Parts: sequence; C-alpha cells; structure tokens
Amino acid sequence: MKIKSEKIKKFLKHSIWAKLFIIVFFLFFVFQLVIHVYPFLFVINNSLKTAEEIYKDSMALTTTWSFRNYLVMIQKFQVRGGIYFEELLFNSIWETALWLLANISSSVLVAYVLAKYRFPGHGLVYGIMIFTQTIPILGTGAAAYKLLHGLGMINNPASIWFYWCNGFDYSAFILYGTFKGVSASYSESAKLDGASNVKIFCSIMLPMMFPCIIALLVTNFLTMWNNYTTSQVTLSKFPNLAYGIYIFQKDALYMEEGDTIFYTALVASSIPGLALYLSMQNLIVKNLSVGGLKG
Amino acid sequence: MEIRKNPLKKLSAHILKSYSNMERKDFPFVIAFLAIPVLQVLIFYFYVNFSSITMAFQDSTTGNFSLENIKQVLISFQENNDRWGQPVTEMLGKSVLIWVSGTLMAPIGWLTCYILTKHIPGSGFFRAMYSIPGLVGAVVFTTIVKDFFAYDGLVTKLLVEGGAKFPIQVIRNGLLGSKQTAFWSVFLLNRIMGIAGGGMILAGAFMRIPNELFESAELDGCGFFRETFSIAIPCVWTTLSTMMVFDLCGFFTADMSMYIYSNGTGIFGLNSMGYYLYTFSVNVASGGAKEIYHYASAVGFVITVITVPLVLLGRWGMAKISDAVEY
Repeated sequence: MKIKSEKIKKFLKHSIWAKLFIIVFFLFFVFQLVIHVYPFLFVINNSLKTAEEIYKDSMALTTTWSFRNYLVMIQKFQVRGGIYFEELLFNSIWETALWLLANISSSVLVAYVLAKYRFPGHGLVYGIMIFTQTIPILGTGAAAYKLLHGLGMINNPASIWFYWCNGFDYSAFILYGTFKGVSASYSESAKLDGASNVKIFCSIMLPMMFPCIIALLVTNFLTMWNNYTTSQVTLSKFPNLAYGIYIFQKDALYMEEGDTIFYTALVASSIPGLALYLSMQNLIVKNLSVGGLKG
Repeated sequence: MEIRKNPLKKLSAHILKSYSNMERKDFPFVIAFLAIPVLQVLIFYFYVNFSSITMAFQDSTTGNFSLENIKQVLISFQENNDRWGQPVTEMLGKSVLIWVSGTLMAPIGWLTCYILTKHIPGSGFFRAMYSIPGLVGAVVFTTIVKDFFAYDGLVTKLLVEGGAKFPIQVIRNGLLGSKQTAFWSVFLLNRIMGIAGGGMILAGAFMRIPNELFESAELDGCGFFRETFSIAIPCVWTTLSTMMVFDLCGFFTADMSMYIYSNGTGIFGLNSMGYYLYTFSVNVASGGAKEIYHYASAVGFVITVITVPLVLLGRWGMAKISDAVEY
C-alpha cells in the first residue's frame, strides 16, 4: 500500500507530458492484460461447459458449471490407446523432479566452486561456462541422439539423469553471480573455527543461497513441466502431460466429449505451474539477476 | 632458464604454483564438486559438437571425408528447396525476421518494464498476468491460439466483422489454414504479446536501483524522461547487455512454437529455422535414415558458421556501447 501511494505521489509530481506518457502506458498495460488473460479464462470457461454448450457457442459463458468434466477427464483422457492422465501426470512429476535435481545441483556445484575457490584450471572451467552459454553450436540434435542411443540412455530413466547434469547453463551463470556476492568473511571465520569445506558449503553457503536456488527451481520447474520435446525425443516411452496434450488434441476430434476432456486437461496441466509461480513471483524477481559477460 | 624454454615445464610449474597456493584439502573437494558436471559437458557439449561437425564432413555411406553434405545444404539455400522439399531459405528469412523484430522491439520492452516496475501501482499483478502464457506452456498456449484463429474463432470473427477481406481458404480453414495469413498471424501475436513486461530478471534489476538515486536526481531538477534514459537504463545496462548476448545466441532457434502450430508439418508457411532443426531431431528419434544425421549436422554447421561471428560481434558491440555502471 505504501509503495502504491508512493508511486501515485511520484506521478502527481511529474510534468504534464510525463503524466500523459505514463497514462498512455497504463492504458497499454490494461490492453495487454486483457489479451494475456482472456485466452486462459476462455479455456477455464470451456472446461466447465457441456459438449453441447461448446458446440453451440464456444465463446459464450457457461451456464451449467460442469465441474463433473474434471472427473470425466481423469477417467477418459488417454493417449496411444492406454496411457491415462494419471500416468502422464506421474511421468511429468518424476521427470521434472529428476531434471531439477540433476540440473540445479550440478549448477550449484559448478557455480560455488568457481566463485569461491582458486584452483589450477579455474580460468579454463570459467571459460567453458562462458563459451557454452554464448557460442551457439546449432543442429547438434542428431549427433546428441546418436550418442544417447549408443550409450543406452534413450528411454532409460536410470541413466538419463546424467544427460541432465548440465552444470554450465544459465542457472549456473546466475548462481555464480550470487555466490560471488556472498562475503568471503563467513567461510573464513568458519575455517578458523575448524569447519571443513563440506560443512561450510552445507551449513553456511547453501542456506544463504536458498532464495536464489528456490527462484531457479521454480523457473526451471516451468521449463521442464511444459517441455514436450524431451518426451518426444529422449523419453518417448514415458510421455509427460505436455506431450500427452499435444498428442490428444488430434484424438479429441473423434471422441465423445472430446472437447470438454481436452479443455479440462489443459486447465489441470496448467495448475501446478501457475500456482507455484504466482505464489513465488516476488521471490523470483528479488533473487534472480545476471552480471556481465567477462572472459 | 630451462623452464622458460620448455612450455610444458612452464605450464606444470604454473599449475604446481597455483596448487601450492591453495590449501591441500581444498583440491579433492574442488575435484569432487566439478567431476560430474565437467564430465557431462565434455561428453554432451564438446564431444557431441565435435561429432556433429565430423558428421557434416562425412559421406553417410562410406564414412569418408566429403564436402557433399555441405554442398547440398548450400544448394538447398540457393534453391529454397532441400531434398525433402522444405523451403529452407524462406525459413532462414523468417528466423532472421523473428530475431531482428525482437531486437528492434527490445528497447520498447525495457521501457515498458521500467515504467511498470517503477511507476505503475499494482505492477506485481500486471506482471503475474503477463506471465500466464509462459506459465501454461507452449502446447497449451498454441492450442488456445488455434481456437481463436480458427474459421469460427474470436480473432477471425472480429477481423471479418471489422471489414478485413480474406481469401476463401481463410474463411474455410481459419487464419492458420492459409499460407497468406498463417505465419503472419503467429508472428504478430507473438510480437504484440511480447512487448509488455520485459521479464523477471529485468524487473528485478530495475527494482534493485536504489530509490535515493532517483530522489537526488529529482532534487537536481531531473525530469521523468531524463530519469528514465540517463539513470534507469544505464544502471541496468550490464543486465541488458547480457540478456541481449543470450538473445543473440538464439538467433536461429527462436521458432515461435511453429512445430506445434503446424503439428510438426510446417504447413501453410508455419515454419522457421528453429522448427527445421527440431524436425531433424524428431526424425532421427523416430528411426530416420542414416543420411539424416549427416545432413542435419551439415545444416547445423552452416548455420553455426553464420551465427558465431554475429554473436562475437554482438558481444564486442555490447561491451563497447557502454561500460558497466556500478552503484
């Protein structure tokens, strides 16, 4: 409330041209709000309609409020003749959890060591981080698939985690900057008290990094939760919700109540991401920052 | 004297010196932390890239060195037609258009982000709502857009009622069902929706600018426009330039979800270079012929050769435009 009133006070102090400029932008923001939110409200509305209502007028407001559609969707949503919603959901959960664990923990390890230790080859490892992030080598999908296939990692949940242990990605870059910002005096005092490197990392550094790590977990969660390419290329036997919906959209045309099932599935698959992100928005804004690219 | 003469000895002496400078117990700790990520990057970045470049210069049948794949790729760009009938030059042009338009519009995005963060009450709410399309994911979002762009969809209806004249194919199949309108509909929608917000990282950077800086500028008689362009933007320049370099890396991979819009077919001009490169991965995953691996690698190599100098130039340019501002 204080911030709002401060913004309004500040607005009143501006020149007439600046006021006009801000008002035009405010109207633009409202227009943007409508075009960003309306499509999703449309889907929620249609998920609560009967098939007849959708057929008659897909744009009209629901009159039946058929929450029952969600139960029907759980029973009838299926792809490839037998993979049901709960299996797709389960695949989404374990794939996202495993990917987050592998990816973020690798990034934390690389960023911490680079930010806090000087060691032979430090410049080389830092150079790898910058190089892999800023030099795009494209069209390597076929070569990567060939290698993954050769290593037996395609459709193999027991080994695919290693492919996901990319500790030199954008997350590492953000974490590196944040670790750099943590004063060395904490670890130095702990060392004087006899703490080991592991103890310093686990008991001092990690807790201080929690807000940044949680912010990264949330943003990366969204990436993997909505990722259909992994299911399509590397884990095709374990389709996730995003890929399941991609496949189902064609089947929906030939199914009884296909439209309502489809719309309810769209809403259901979006809920985890929306809930997590909207509840953590402030934490993300405050804790994610990128520095310059040197090296 | 001997060390100076021998580069290997010089290197080992340097390493030993560095090693003696650090506490001995730190070394195993560093190795343990870096082992898996470094192994991963060596295999899945360096080896894969090496393998991809090698395949680009290999005959798919004999495995011998050959420039045939590269030649075929260059010819396909010249003729706007690859061996599977894909309009590659057109796709290249679309990718350039996507990137250039995004870059030209980026300053508007920065400005909207700044005004939203610093001057509009309820900016958190606005930002949260703007992130909905990203939160629901590409599959869900494109599905909704397909509904809106269908022949009886809201957007098509509004345009027709507004007096827009469309070819019969659009009336029958919707905006995404005609080559004349499909790509442009998706392109314009993405560009219009992409203006607002500016992203979380930039919003955070603006929020971190101390208010005292603006207050003292105000006391010195600094107005809104000067405050925006002489204080706010320079203060977040490090973030902006880094974001722009990362954007530059996506020069040919930003595809505006063309793969999903066209159900993997690229039909009605719903394609781009990002779409094209991804279809190779899908083809090899679904058991495509061996020659696809080599051809895909050659396409990647040619595009990389175009992109890398641009990225390096962009990085150099960003560093030149402005030095980082500390506050």
